[in-house]
Amino acid sequence: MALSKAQTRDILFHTHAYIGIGVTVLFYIALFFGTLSMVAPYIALWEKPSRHLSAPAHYDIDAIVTPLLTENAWPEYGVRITLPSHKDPLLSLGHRLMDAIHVNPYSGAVVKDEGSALRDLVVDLHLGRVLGRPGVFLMGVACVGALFLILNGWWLSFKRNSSRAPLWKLRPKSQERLHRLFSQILSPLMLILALTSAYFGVMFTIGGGLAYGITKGEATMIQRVLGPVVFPKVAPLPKSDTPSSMQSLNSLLEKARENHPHITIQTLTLERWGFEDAKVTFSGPLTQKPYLTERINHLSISFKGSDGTLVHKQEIEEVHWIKKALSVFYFLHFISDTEAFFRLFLFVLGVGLCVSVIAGAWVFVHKRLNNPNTQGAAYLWSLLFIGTFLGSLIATAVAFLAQWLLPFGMEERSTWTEGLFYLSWLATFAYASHTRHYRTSLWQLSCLSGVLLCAVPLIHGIQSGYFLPQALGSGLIGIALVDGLMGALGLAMLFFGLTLRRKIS
Amino acid sequence: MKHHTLSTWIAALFGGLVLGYGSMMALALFLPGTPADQVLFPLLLTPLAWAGWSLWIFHSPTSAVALKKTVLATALVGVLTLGGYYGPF
Repeated sequence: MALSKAQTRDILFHTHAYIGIGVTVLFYIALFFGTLSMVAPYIALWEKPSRHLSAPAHYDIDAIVTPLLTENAWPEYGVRITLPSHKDPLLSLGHRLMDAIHVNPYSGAVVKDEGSALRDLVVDLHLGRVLGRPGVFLMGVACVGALFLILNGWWLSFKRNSSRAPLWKLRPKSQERLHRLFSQILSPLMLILALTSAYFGVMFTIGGGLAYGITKGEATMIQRVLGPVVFPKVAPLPKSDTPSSMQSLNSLLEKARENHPHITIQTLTLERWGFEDAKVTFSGPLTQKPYLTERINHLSISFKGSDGTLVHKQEIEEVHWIKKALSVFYFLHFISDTEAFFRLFLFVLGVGLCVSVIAGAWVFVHKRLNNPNTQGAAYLWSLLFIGTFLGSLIATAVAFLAQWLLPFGMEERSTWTEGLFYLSWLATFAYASHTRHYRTSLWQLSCLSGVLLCAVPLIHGIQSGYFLPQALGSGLIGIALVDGLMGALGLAMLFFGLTLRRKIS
Repeated sequence: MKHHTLSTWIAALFGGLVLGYGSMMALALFLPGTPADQVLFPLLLTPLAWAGWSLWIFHSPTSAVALKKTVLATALVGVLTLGGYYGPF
């Protein structure tokens, strides 16, 4: 039985509305904190007083690292030195089984790391990791819902019948116009983000069946199939327990840069340092094509530590295509090796996506609020959405303020920050349900979130001594970016809240 | 036209999952190369296939049609998957 155009549109419209409403809260949380995660490395700098310095152009690795290597008992393999960069101006020495040691590259002093509570909170909320593995899976399922909405939305746009107003004839600034405009422009980006999110969130959990089918029962986990290709084992040098003097890391770094000029060296990995078979591996992404060399596919060059002879140089052509493809997937979602401007650009697009989701949810609520039969349920939906959309903003602002208002020596500081974050979010729900009309709580909470967000750069400036102009003047681009974005979001929310108030009155 | 019944929703959401997973399994089994070569893109495309099949099942005038579509497509995908698994590839 063939469906008429009107029937098709009706089906598409209703499934879009109901699936949309089903996944909105989770998808919005993933999207909002994902947008903040675009600047996650800079949030980690912003929240720590020890990171309020710019990365140095020159530093003496030997002078910093040699005493630390001799003073501490390090494992023989996998000691990792991370060089100062725009993501962290400190040089750090660590191992996956030991806490990293952070050193100020200007003074050579060991710095106590304050921890990255805010960055971790934002990233964990984005990934759903606050609820553990089930949370990550849930976020992935919400992204499958978003994929459905994108396909459905495209079909709906294609099938729009003549009785439905075209985009340019809709009432200016109406929710539907906003939703359709932002969604249509940003749907390719949303497709990429939702697809990669669903891939990471869902498929690594339920991909076991695929692995079983493809390998005819040999593997039951997808990691078993992809692992050997993505992380091939590198044969170590012939073992020798003879102690030996080591080449200077500074000169080896120079040598690595000369031999592999196309990569931006970020890390050094030491193996059996101090012995004749010692090896140092310099690795990093391609400077010109970072999308091919995301963090799972950093290119490397290795030298013998005792005499500096070249052991191995990895070129991009040698890398398996699967690793390159995975690198592109990672890049499309994580943008690890990109600079501030690109992150800012994606942040703005992320805000656009958030606006699209909010407007979409509001189309649903608004239509039902005007209908006496659906008013009660729509009121509850409006509370849920106000609590989610504005609560996330208010809670984020409170957590950012707490970061600079709570004393740095405080016991369980990150727990207090997280506690304040969740409490303020809950308080938003409580306040939204306390007011009689949703519009009142909407403008009041919008203004409150605006004031709190505007206070973030001010409090940070007062406490750290780095207001936005000082941060920019000192070359602290990442820190200035976080301050600027918080202030801009705050002003936008204030403007929205006050405009709404004027309309209501 | 009436809105979708519960059975259409169940068919679309769970049938979509089974069909999305199954069709990508069948695709992977027919792709050439090592298991890693075969699995990467089907793995990425499974969520999209899930969404696509669900949309296709929703696009039915009645729940009976939705169920019929789900059963027939599942049978077809099942035959393809079993053919890929036990076949000569």
